[in-house]
Amino acid sequence: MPYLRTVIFTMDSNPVSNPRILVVLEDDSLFAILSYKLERQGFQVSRASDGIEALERMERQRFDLLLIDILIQKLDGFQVMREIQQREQVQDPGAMVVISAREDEDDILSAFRLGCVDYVTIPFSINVLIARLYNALKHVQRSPVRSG
Amino acid sequence: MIAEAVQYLVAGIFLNSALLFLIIVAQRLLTASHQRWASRRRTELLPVFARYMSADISIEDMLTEIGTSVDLAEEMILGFLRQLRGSERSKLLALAHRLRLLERSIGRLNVWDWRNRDIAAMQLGIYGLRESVPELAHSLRDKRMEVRFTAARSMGMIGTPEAGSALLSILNRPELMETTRLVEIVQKMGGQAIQPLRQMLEDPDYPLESKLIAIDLVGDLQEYRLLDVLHASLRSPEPEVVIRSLKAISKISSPGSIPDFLRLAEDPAWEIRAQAVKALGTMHVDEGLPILRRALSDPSYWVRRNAAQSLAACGYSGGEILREARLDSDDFARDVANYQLQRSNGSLSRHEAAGLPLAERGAEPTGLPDRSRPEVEG
Repeated sequence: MPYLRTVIFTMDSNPVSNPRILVVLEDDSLFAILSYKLERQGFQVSRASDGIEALERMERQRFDLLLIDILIQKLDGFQVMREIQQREQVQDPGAMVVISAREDEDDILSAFRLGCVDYVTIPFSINVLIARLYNALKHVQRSPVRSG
Repeated sequence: MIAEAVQYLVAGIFLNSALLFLIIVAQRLLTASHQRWASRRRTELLPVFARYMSADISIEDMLTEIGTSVDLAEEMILGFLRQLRGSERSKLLALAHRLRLLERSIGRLNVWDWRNRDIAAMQLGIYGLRESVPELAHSLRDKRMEVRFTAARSMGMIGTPEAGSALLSILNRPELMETTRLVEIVQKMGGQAIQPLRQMLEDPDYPLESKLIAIDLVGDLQEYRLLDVLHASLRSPEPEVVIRSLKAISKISSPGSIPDFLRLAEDPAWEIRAQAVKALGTMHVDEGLPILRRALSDPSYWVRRNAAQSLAACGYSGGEILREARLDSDDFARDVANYQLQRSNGSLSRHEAAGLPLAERGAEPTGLPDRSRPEVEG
């Protein structure tokens, strides 16, 4: 179980306990598997299934991490990230990690320009994704000021 | 008598319509009921899948939970396999193995409905297991093009050496596939495709049409590892092979190809000269300028036009040559230079300052310039 060892190691080295994560994902099945594994790792998982719902949730609550799929309804992932930078009432979403089936260089660069700290392409390993989320969390703690 | 017959006929039609109506209603009710059941069952199974993939329950427990809902489990496993890799994928494949899902898909490759065969070929690609390669290779001879394409794509996804043979088999029958779809297959194959493409281009026994498609593929994929084969193809006795190879090399943008471009810009065949001077324009180098200048007086309109466009693409030096050619004693050179400079709307300097090739601007010419002397048809 090398992946699990990596995850456990990253957890131990991270001072945040029970990080709050907003998962913006349309696919119920993938969310079910992902949230189960995240909760087992101690995350407090909230879900939004489209861009508008994601922004509404972020207006009401502060998160440590935002995990967002690019291909979502109403507003796509890029638009949500743009709104996060522009809307005053949206609270700091913490570190943003993008998951996407699109591997275009332009998409990846756009996501990083909009402030994401990691870009994960589908298909992915959930254990590796969780390890990356822990790394993203550390990145935000080092620079808590919101960009944009 | 007739009235009685009409009455029976009307009654028969009425009964038939009523029966048909009842069948449709029953079918809809059954479908809706099945959908509700499937949705409920999916909701029940999702947390079980989550526990199984987190190693909280054993595969035996998972199989017990699935029970008779194998179709639904198959759909869910395939959905997850599209999105997950790593240890989750291994667990899903172990489950698929226990449910004998691979055998189900292989069996469906032979059913009469081509849509089911197509779905089965796609499923085998998602499972990505080498055991299915012989069956997929067999499906490359399916009577439906869609199934053949999906089977080839799945073989590419599996990425075995047999996938190379599959590609050769398709390339050998170019009527089977559109080139654009072949590009998709070859992209899926990645490095696996290089060897069969090389084999096809080097082997004189393959049909010309197949070779031409293979050359286009190498260009579309910008596969620099096959540049040596393309360079060799530039010496082919078949003009079409040379022209397609020139196009393919232009897409790869290899500076090592410039000597070949220069040589072919003076080839006796106007089609080859036209393509060679066009290829020189893609390289943006001064080495080609003297030949491009001479090509402005070529007997073929297409060679002249391509040469003028290539000069415009060469930035300041090319622009200067075009401006000088406006005063040339040769009608052809003068006309085509004027035409190219007008086409760039007199903004050559501004354009050069921006560092953009002129050839990318403006529309294609709508007609041929005036001809004051006979020229080679182009």
